[in-house]
Amino acid sequence: MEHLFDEIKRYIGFDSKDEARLSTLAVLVQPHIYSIVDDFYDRILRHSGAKQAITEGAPQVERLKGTLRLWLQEFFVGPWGYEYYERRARIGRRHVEIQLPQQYMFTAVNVIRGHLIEIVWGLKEGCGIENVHSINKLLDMELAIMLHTYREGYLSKMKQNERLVVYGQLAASIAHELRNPLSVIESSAFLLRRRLPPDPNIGHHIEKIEGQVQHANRVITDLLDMVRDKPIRAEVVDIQALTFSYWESLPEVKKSRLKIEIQESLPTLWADRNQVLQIINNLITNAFEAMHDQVLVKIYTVENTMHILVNDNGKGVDSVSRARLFEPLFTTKSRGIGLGLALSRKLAERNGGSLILSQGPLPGAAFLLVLLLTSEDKGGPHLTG
Amino acid sequence: VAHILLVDDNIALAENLAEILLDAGHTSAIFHHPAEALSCFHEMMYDAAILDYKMPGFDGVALYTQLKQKDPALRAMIVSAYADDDCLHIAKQQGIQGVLTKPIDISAFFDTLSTLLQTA
Repeated sequence: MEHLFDEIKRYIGFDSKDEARLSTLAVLVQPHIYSIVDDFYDRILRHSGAKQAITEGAPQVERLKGTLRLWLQEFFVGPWGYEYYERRARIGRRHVEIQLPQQYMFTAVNVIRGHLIEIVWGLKEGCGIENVHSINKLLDMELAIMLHTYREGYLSKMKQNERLVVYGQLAASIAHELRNPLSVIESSAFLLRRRLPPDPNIGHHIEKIEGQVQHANRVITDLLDMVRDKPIRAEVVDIQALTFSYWESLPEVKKSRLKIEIQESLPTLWADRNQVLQIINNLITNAFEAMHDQVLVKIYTVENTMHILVNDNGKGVDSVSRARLFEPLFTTKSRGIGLGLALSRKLAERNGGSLILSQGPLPGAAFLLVLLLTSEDKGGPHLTG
Repeated sequence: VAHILLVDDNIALAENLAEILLDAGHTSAIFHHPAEALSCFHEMMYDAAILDYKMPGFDGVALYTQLKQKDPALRAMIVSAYADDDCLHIAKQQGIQGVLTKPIDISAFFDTLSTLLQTA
């Protein structure tokens, strides 16, 4: 089957003459790259919708600018082969992953197009219009590639949804029914603990039984929460108090591994308290389960949102897992069915927020949970601490 | 000492709950079929009822409304593997005092039970 890139090239008529023109233009465009990229991000940051894609402030913008400068350089120097396509598609998939609305791809490419045409139009030597055509061809091919990644994203999401609907109901009824035997195991363990002599060896085994029952029940609860839409009970949530009581509930060995940094006088959240706790617990449990010895939780506000960053010092997330991380039933762990992150993202979104893979001060995985602050009409912003 | 009606088609669980209740000084009568429990039921027999939600014939909430016709003062809690928000809502509407999810948290079980017995 013809490669998608070849097909696009053939349709649009992108050939070696275009390649030669772009190569010649490379040197001429080079001095403008910084100003084009700066303008590109200025526009995004001035636009209230588009700037929501920027979740980590200035350092992220700097990183993205670097990526875009490289993108522009490659645009003119090629080579425009399959590797080029793959690099472009990877950027597209990243857009899909952060759920950048498609319209911003087109509007953003328009900004670049405007700059490039302006530069090329003013050239004294060479045919201006042919250069413009070559640039337009490749820019539209870029859009075609990005659109294709959105299509990939939608198709895989659709497949995933079908799979969930079919197996979800079945799994839910099995899960429900498993609670009956679990309740027998649990109550028998409770009675055994009372009936048996206080032998530490026996106690240890009963603890194991109880722990495993709890684990099994958590899996069931996650599964059921994923399948049905639990109603949201939004209220004013003091995130500092919530995080602190969560920390207090942890065993000592985990307490010492968890570092919490909270911005002073935090405003309150408007969310379902239990669901927020469930997300935070999922993220922190994941980090601990991956055997990372340090987990950092940072809580701070960015404009009208609360950012909760859960960061560990492990190996991070590899590029293969990155794309599928939030898919239900995807897991990198030998245990677990891969619902934690999918469910957490679903809960975050249902509370008007988001959950994405991000970056933090520690080298390992970093998950950024963004939630809404209590708005003034709900009596906010309340300050805590 | 309270006398408790236990209705659950999960025989092993009903027995365990009876044993846990006995440890706490309460006696109980176990039924595995809601119809059977209903036919043997008389006013003032029990201080409280612990009913499973999903059972053959009719569910715990339906059983409770029937039992209440014979004994309007009867207090009850539902223990359910299926306790979702709908179940909780219906149970509350019918005047059931507590809904617990299986597997049962024993301390929550006793908390709910003592509320039932206090209000009885």
